[in-house]
Amino acid sequence: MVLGGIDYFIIIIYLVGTVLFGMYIGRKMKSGDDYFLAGRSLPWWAIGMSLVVTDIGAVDMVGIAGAAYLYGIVLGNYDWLGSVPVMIVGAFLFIPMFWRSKVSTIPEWLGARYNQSVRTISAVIWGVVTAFGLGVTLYATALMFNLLLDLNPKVVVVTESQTVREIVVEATDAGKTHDFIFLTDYNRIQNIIDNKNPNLVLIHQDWSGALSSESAIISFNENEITSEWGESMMNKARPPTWTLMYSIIIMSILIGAYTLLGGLKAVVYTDVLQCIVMLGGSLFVLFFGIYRLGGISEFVTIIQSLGPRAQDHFELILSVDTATPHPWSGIFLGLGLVLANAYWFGNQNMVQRTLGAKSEADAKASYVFGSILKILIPFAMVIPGIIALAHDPNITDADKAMAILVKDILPTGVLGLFFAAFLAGLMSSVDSALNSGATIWTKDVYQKFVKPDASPEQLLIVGRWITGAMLAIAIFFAQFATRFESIYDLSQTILSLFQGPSLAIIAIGMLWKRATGKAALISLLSGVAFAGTLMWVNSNASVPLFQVSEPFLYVAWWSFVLSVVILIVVSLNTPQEPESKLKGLVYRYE
Amino acid sequence: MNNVLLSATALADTIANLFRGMGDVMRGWMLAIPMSVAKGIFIVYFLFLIYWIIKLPENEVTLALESGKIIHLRNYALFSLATIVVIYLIF
Repeated sequence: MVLGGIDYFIIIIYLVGTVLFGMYIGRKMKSGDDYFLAGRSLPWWAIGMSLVVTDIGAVDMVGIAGAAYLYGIVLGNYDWLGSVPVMIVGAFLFIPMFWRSKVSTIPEWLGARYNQSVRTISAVIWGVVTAFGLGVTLYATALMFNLLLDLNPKVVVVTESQTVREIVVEATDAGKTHDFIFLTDYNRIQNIIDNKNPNLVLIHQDWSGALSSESAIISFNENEITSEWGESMMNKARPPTWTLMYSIIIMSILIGAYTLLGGLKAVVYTDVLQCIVMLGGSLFVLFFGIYRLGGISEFVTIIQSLGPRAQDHFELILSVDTATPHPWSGIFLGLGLVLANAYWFGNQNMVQRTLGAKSEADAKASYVFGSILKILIPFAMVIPGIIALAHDPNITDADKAMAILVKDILPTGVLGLFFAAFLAGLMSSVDSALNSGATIWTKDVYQKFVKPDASPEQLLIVGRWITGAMLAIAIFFAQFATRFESIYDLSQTILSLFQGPSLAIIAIGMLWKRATGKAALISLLSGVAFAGTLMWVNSNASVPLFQVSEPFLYVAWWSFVLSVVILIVVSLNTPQEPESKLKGLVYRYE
Repeated sequence: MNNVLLSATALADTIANLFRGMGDVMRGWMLAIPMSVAKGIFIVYFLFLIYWIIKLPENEVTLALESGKIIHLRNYALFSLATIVVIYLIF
């Protein structure tokens, strides 16, 4: 199934509608506060929906469904453990304290609670991570955009051997950027060439038939397959007419238009629209996918019939020695106790919209409402990944599982709706990261170091310039995301370096009045250095330090533990902060 | 270049060996925990949060919106957490 006219119509209406809606919402921007905090006028329901849709962006639609294809429902932990309980804690403990302190950014709060050095380091770390994360998100977008619109260059591999298929994909290293079409019937080669117009055709063993095509057609023997062979084959392929970068740039222009003009208010209200479209589209894939498989019992039977590779696909808790990156110990300690908390109370991207809430009640209610919506997300994102496995167990690149599923099962018209839902997820993640990153760079770097007496109007102008610059940086970073095996694991790996130490200084600082500024600075730097060291040792030692394939959960946990220990020990050995400074910044210390 | 790579590996191995013994002991403890107990740890965590929500003072969970409407957030929070407990009991 490819997109039909009605699909394109729905997509264009959606895109134009969202951009115009965002621009309309943001038409009365007058100051930096309007731009970064929506003039503190946001209601709970809009913030709650915005939180949810921001969290489940294109990275999740591609990466989580792909990981669920490989590992199963264990990915549901990222919402059911990693969001719901943590959002409840945030609603009553951390979020009201941020809101009452009237700050614009988390680094600004850290500056008030500890000192300006902690603020600056934290701001620079988050500013850089946000720009890199944007690059990953844009890359994920381009993958889905190209796949759904059938824009990827194509490689046809004609062979009867499953093993040869796999080593060809590995040798060419083009699984992410090209669509591979596998063919066992040598008599259908011309037919595939005529219909798919591939850039390269690789035919296993000697074949003497005549073919007519502009594509490069090459016969090969399995003994010659090496990475050098793969590289030379890709060099001989006809160059693609459409690349990932074109898709990245188109998305950037569309999102940049309303985020740059409308700021946080445009981001949040377009997110409301996007939340409705995205949840609707994803839940439709869930129900329609199960219906196409013959119902729930048939779906479960198909998965169970796949043998050992899918035996744990309906288990939320996996053993410590699981072959997946999701052992229960890492999930509970790394995700449940560290990364989830760091994400929901320590991430500017998430917290910023609650700082723009019109009252403390709205700020609290938004997190509780968001937690209820979050219960639905694994049904919309994780289960469809498992449905994709039941639908086609032979997908070579798991990150393409969701796209292949929707292309295969959804009828014309509905496919356009799903594509709009995907764009909704993408746009919400990018617009939020752009706005929060620009807020940090403007408030914590520009206003603090360059022009402390900047007027509200000047901050608005600078904020817009920084938004544009961040988009350009994200486009640059997007080129490097292809080097990583799984998009989702990449973004989690980056965050795990910083989130453990960041959470330590935020949580301990908010809960313990004895924590000092000097201790927080040492704790933050030591924690980040320790996390970086663990990652470096793990990838450079002859035998990896951790016995899971992606150790980001453990790295987050241990860097958090070290940061907490250092923070406590150094605090007890440095003079206490003045009590007047701590009022309103420490829990129940007014 | 090869020498640099070799020394990087040697340094990484040295650091890894410092942690590996301690890590293996902790991994052994974790492996000894039965899966049913592991699931119990998750559920106890959720039940602890439910207890915490129940114990929060009324003025922290019942609030007035700007419109004057009163919202009782405790009930919604408990609904959210109770649903998660059910999900973990099923899977």
